[in-house]
Amino acid sequence: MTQSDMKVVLISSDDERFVVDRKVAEKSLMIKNMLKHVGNNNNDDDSDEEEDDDDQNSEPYEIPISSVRGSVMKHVLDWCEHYKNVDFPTNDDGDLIAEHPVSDWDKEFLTVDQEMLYGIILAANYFNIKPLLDRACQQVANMIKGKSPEEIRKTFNISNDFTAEEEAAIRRENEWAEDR
Amino acid sequence: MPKMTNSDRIRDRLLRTRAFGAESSNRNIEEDIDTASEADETLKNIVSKRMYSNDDGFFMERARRNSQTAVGPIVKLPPELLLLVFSHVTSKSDLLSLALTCKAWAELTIQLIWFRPSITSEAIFRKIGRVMQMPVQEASWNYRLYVKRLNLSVIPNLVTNDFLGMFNHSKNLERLTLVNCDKLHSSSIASVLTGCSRLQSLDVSGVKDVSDDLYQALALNCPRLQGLYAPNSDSVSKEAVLALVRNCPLLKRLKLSECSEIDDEVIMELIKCCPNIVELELHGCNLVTNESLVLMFEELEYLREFKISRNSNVTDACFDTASGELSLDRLRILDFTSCENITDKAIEKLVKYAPRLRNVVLSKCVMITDSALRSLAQLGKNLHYVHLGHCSNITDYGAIHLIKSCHRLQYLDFACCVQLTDETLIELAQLSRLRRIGLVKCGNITDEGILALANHGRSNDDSLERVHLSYCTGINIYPIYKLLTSCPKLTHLSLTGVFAFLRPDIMKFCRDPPADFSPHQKSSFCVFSGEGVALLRRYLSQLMCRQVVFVDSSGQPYQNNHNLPRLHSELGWMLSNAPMMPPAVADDASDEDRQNASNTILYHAFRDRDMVTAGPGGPPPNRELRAITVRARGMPVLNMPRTGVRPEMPMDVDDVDGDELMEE
Repeated sequence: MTQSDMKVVLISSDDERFVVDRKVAEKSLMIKNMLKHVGNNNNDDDSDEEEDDDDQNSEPYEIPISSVRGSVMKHVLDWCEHYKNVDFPTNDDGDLIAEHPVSDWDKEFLTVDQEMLYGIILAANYFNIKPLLDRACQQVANMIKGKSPEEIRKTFNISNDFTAEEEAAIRRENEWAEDR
Repeated sequence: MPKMTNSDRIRDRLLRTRAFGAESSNRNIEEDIDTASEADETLKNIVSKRMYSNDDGFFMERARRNSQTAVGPIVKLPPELLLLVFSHVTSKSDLLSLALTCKAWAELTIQLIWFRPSITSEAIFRKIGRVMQMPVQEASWNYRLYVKRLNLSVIPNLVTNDFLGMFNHSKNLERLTLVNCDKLHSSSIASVLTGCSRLQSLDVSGVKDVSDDLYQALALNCPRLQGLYAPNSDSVSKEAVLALVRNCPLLKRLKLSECSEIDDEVIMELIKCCPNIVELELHGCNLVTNESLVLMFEELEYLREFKISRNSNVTDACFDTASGELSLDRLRILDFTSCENITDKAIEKLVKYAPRLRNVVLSKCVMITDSALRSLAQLGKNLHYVHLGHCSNITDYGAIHLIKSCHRLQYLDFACCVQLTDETLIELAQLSRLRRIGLVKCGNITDEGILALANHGRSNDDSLERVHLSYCTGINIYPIYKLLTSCPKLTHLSLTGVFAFLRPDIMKFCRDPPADFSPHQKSSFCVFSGEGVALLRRYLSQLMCRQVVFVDSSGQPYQNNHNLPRLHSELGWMLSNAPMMPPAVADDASDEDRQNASNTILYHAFRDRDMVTAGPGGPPPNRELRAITVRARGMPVLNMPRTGVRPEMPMDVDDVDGDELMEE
């Protein structure tokens, strides 16, 4: 069995099991780091884990993900599957080097209810999938664009805890930011 | 030892992973600061980077303390992720709307608004001033604490000591950029620094008053300092610099130019205390000698940029270590301007030890010869930038060798390399990435060289941006016209003292001369930049593309089309050599006036034609060309276009209305 057709089992908080290609799971840098020393034939860096070679054929890699629900996990893994052959190059700091424009597929993918969208953000952060986290955040940011404070409150179901004076003061002290 | 299964091992790793800050242990504490690239950094990158450092704990704590008023699903997002979401909101007015939704969100949004207040206009400057003047207890937030990066370089003339003083107690400042704020006193900058224990960089380039108190404030308050650009440190004492290097061990980038008290002892201390130095600039620090430089090259393993100038102590021996070995693999930029004792031998060693050098500045290293250029040529594609101004020993031989070997050169300066000829330009034309070329006072350069530079198969994406040809006195208009049309990205062209261009119709597009020039200097100042280049290009195009008709001796349009291209080119030469254009003719001028104006052009053209081909008193001009007629329809071509760009008139014989032809 080669590394690329190795399977990984992700177990969600509600005990759903997701069997995916290692390549798909490794879109998550967290999982990629975890599997770093697993099943590599050329591991010259970690000789104490050589016993991995023995059991890699028999035992599938089970990874319990206690903080992500099955419904969200399915979504995130769909994204990973779609982009499994795309590289998102990053610099030394882990920032994405190029801005990848949000594709139509992404837009479609992220057209979900807010509950799911925030679930995806939390999961993308936990799994450390920067491009997905970025796009999901952008999706929420788009929901804010051009709206008045009241419209934003409505969109996100927030109540206003400012007095009129407080509101006026904030406006007065920060309106400079609006100028170009 | 019981054998761990893979799943055990993975579970074990998971336990060690936190939802946030999973990477923090792996991260280098100090993020590499790079003053130059600050502008490119987007807020969302900064926020996402900070999520993994614990620097902002204080603000997150504040954000958490606000009771959430959200009841919708968004309540699930912790403040760190909410902040990341908000950092994707790019419009400032959207941010202000967010700040007005509820207290918890305002707390986050204020972080984004004040993180790096962009003071880009006088209006913003005034408004921010008013907010900063409010007593702290009256303002909704103590905004000072939220300012992490402050850049006042966009409006340097407005920045007074009082204005900067309003930012006193901004103790979370990380970067302070005060480039060219020359009204500032050293003491007021020092007082802003008080308590700034997180300061990473200070840029006071162009600030004239830099004294010991500034250095002492940095030494006392800013242990995390990584960058200090203080190139006007002429009145700073040795003790102050020593205090700085001893207390700021993370220093990476340091510009201390003109500090006359810096000597070998200071450099030795720097090497000892600040091993991470990446960039060091010591222009005019002329007490520094080879003794400390050898050690510096040997010990500072991250050294990437080193600049020193006007220092006659620096000789070839600055690379001579005790062991006879040296590795400067990280060195990319070296500037030895006016270190007159540097010779070819030094460059030979330099290239051997620093094979990845990208920029080399040897201007006014007057002993440099072609041999040094042969050494530099070994850098091959790594070499992008070479300044050899006033290295008057160098010849075409060295220059051509260098250009042939280093095909990625982008910047070349050969000012006052008086032996260079057109041969070098012909070679230069091969450099596809060339962006700037300096040839000031290369008096041997002629039209032929400029034409080669312009003609060599360059396309619309030609990279050439700046060309300096001042005092190349032999250059005429036509080749410059060709250069302008073949280099669309050209935004700077200097032709000071080049006679062919010192005429009112051309000089009206040139930049104003510096105010401190003498009348004589002003009269020969001829530099085009930005829009001026575009206007010049347009004007010369009109000059060259005037509708021109070739007629044979019987007055009929010239039929031999095979010869037309050559004729056009020769005509271009002649027109370009016309020393002065005739006066502009008004729209309502009589036909006779127009005719006279045209005749004037012809006269000059022919007179110059004689000079070009035969010299004064030589044989008469080519017979074919004797009957050239220049028709200027209504004469507007001699004026600036009144509106927009005029389409180029076709130079097509068949297009000519015979009645309008004038025969000489």
